[in-house]
Amino acid sequence: MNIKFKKILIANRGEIALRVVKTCRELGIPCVTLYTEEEVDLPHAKAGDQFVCLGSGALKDTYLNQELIIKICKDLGVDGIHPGYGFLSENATFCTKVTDAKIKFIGPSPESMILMGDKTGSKRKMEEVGIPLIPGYHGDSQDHALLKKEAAKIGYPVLVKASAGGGGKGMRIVEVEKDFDEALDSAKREAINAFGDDRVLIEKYIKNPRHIEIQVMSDQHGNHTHLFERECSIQRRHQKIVEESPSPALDESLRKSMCDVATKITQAINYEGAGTIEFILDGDIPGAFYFLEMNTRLQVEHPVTELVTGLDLVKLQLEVASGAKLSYKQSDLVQRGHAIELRIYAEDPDNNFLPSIGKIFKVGKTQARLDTGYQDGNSVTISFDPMLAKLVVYGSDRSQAISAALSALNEIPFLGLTTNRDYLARILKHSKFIEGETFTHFVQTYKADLSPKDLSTNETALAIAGHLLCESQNVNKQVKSSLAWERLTGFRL
Amino acid sequence: MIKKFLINNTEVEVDLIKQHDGNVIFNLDGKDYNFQSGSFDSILSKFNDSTTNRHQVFSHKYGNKSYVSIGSQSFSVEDASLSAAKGAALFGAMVSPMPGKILKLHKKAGDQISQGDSILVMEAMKMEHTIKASHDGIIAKINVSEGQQVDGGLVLVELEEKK
Repeated sequence: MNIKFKKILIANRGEIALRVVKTCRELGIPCVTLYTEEEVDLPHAKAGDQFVCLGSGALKDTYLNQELIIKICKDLGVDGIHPGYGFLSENATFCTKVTDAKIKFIGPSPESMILMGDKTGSKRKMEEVGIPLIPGYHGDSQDHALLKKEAAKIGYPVLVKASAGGGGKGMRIVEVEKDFDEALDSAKREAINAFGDDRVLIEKYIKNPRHIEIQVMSDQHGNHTHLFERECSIQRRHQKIVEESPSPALDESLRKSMCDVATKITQAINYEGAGTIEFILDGDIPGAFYFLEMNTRLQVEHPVTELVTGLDLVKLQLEVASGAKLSYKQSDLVQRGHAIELRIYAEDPDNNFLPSIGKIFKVGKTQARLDTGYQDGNSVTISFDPMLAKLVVYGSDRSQAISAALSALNEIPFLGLTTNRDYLARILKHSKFIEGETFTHFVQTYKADLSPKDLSTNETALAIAGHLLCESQNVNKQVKSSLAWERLTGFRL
Repeated sequence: MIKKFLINNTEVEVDLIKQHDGNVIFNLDGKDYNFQSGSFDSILSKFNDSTTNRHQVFSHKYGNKSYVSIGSQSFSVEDASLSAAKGAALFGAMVSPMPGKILKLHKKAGDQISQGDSILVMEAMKMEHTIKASHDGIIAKINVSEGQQVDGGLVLVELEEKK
């Protein structure tokens, strides 16, 4: 495949920066990584063939500093920018500036980004194309009283969502009218902080929703394909924590209709590159699904699709961005086996999912795929997202994938931090999860079942033994870590 | 020798019989345990004369505390005698869980509150967190104001028991 890039800059950090480096290495394309002064010890800082320090301070001065990033590209002869996810990945202004600077933005056109990035605008377009939508208010007027009236018209419960939103930020469920005012204020505050835009839309809140999304991939020659679905119903604070493919909720015909709608959308907007069409599947009406939004970037959970299709999504992005035709036909693709991704977070699920900070003494090792931006000795601070890693497992069927996930969870302690590891294990062992009864309210509905169990006497004994025995081990460790080799972690020849 | 440990701040008492050269023997809840350090993050115990059990246990000592992981669970373990005396927690002292910024105060000093009421909203790690009342009471004092940056562990709100 002819990938023409001479050098790629990865405008991101952490695990996704490392993920993109991996494919660049495989393809023999030199790449540039970025880091801040606070991140000197993190693996992504020194992962590229060249790495550039962005200084320190607020994100707007570092990873969101568009002029600085474009200048670095020019100085280093970069002809392609991979934005990863988050940060500038869905910023149309940046995309335009990059294009004007004669650098290829590895992703869709600014037009697609503007259209789909605005939740209100994208829904209007979908309506035109005839894509099913959830009943709601997507109007321009943001008058408080009007919003409240619209909410009443749709009927409670309703969902208040930031128009520019994503990742659960600026989103509130309102069960009854008397809570509307407080929820609206709070959603608007969070939205203005996160996106600099406090417009909201209001929708009917579906009682038993499942989150199903279709991975799409389109080239510049009008070929629009899908890479099947991912189910991401297991969420906390409206953020996904367990993702899988195939979805236990879809049969062949429903899968086909959802995937067909997805490619109908990419065709209608003349999309280029990797994207994800998110749908809500109504658990109470068989076969009913609604367009939720389109993410015009590579998703956090893309590895799930990679494992069941055998495709490297970053490689496909690079091929398509360099103008090549897709190397496969839709009919070539099959979903093989079952993949599950677990997002490991530095947080305490048993205390309101409050983020935790601290030092990682040991990440651990596993045969499963572990996409992480951390290594032993790193500190997790409040400056960045508390996601530590993505653990991605594969099995020949769903139950084997669940077993593999449970085993792998035991191997990656991220020792020193409070994580959601055990909580994820409790989810995977829950009978409703095993039966495939996954809804977006899963963790609230089964809150009691998912609470921590008391330690057995044997576990208590092992914990005490671990404490007493590591005193002597520790002496050896201290000697070892002063060896020069340990300090050269990340050094590449 | 009777020793007390705190496992995730819960006190556990054991009778420590031997601790020497990578071997510990103790009695917990009337049962004797005999463990040996193993390699690759493991602890060994004897099943019988010829068979050894291998337990995957990650541990790391940091100060007086150990971080220990067994299966998917993680614990902090420390000698109760060395623990920074937590004492009886202050009645209703609501502490900031981590560094962040106070966004909004829903209550003021003197307000009567019930368990679960939202007292304030803080932002940390780019998310809003609502700090809720841990129990019924009256707000004696609020030590922060809107917009203020706070460290983790700071007493945000002091509660008084309802008379």
